[in-house]
Amino acid sequence: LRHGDLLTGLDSYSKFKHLDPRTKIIFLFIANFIVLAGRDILSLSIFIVMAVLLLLSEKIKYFIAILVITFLWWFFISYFLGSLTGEIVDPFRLFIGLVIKGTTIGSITVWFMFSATTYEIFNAMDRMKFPVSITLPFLVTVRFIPTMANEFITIRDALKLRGIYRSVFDVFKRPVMLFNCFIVPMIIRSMKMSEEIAIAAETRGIGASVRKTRYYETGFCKYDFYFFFFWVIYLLLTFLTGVIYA
Amino acid sequence: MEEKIVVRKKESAGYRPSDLVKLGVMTALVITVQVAIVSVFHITGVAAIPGIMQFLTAFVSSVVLFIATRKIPKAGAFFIITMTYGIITSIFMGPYIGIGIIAGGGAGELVLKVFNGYTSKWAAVFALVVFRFVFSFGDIIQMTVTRVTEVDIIWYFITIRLAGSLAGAFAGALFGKSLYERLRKSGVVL
Repeated sequence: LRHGDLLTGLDSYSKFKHLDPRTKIIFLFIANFIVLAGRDILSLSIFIVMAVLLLLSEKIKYFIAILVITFLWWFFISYFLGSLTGEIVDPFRLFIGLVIKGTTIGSITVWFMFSATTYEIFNAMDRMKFPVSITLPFLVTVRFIPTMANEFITIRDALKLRGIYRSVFDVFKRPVMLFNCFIVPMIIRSMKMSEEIAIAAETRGIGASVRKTRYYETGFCKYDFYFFFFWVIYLLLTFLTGVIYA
Repeated sequence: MEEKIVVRKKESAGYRPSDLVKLGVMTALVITVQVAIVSVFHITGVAAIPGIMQFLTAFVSSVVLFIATRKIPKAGAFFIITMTYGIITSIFMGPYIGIGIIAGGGAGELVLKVFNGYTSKWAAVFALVVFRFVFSFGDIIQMTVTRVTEVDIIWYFITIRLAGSLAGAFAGALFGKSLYERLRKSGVVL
């Protein structure tokens, strides 16, 4: 028995389901940090790692989609803004920054979304001794982002039916009206929703002072050590290759 | 009777789980509206105009954050929201922006505490501007260190981004203030 995926609500499929969520979170932080602050060769290396991880997870279509979008953005910025400002001196660096780093960061997010469940993240944070005042809002936030997105879609459909919003370009024709039509109902809806959820949570004993037990147990296992082992070796090899290459 | 009063005092001093749930929902709203705006403006290509995105994201997030601080007027509420927001951003967008958000939240919370911002509306407006100012620095550090795009590190683009962010935060907080009044008069909030 497993909980639904973080954002999709579908059953967890993952080939990485045996990994402890803490391993995934640590990997996420390190990979993000290396991509953002590391040398280009390391970014490129993690770009390849993410392609492999998403391929193994049968989510390669997301990798390709992000790659195409970032490539189009690179093309647009290089030629449009480059000719406008005349200050983009190095399109290759822009390519590394936008396409390689951008795709990698997006892919890390996608991989994490599809391989960790909200319950697992909560469990991991609990084990990492995060205070409840952080873990509870975090859990609610992660759980409610898709709900909010659905609310947005519902409001958009209602506005379409009334002929107020036909396409995304209406944002420029009637910005103030659309702001009022989208954001104000969203705020009111969320406030009402937060009241209802808070009451439901209180009724189910969320504030009870007894020690809570876990329905699903998590813990480090041999897969976590394999994962870290390969990860460290890979990074080391990439780093050495970069040094030799330089 | 006396015992009941003591219990009530104890509850109001800290956070009940229901308060934390409410803060979580408001954080989800802050993130969702910003992602929606960023998506729309990237699809339409408007995001390439410097300062526009920063203005709009600061505007909507300030509206929601203003309402959130009114809805849960307890010391630390603003910091809890920004902390949660910062952690999620760190996970998905890298540590620099996340740290910027958390530091901004700390600075904003300090302003709220010093100027009694959970009751004074103008202090809350000021706190939101301070939050966005610090947050923008995290954003600027991220793009300067990581060089994700060459365009972003041109100095006048940085200035425009910062100005857009501050103007958006100020306008958003003012709009949030008037919206809150409207919601209060219509009975949506007490």
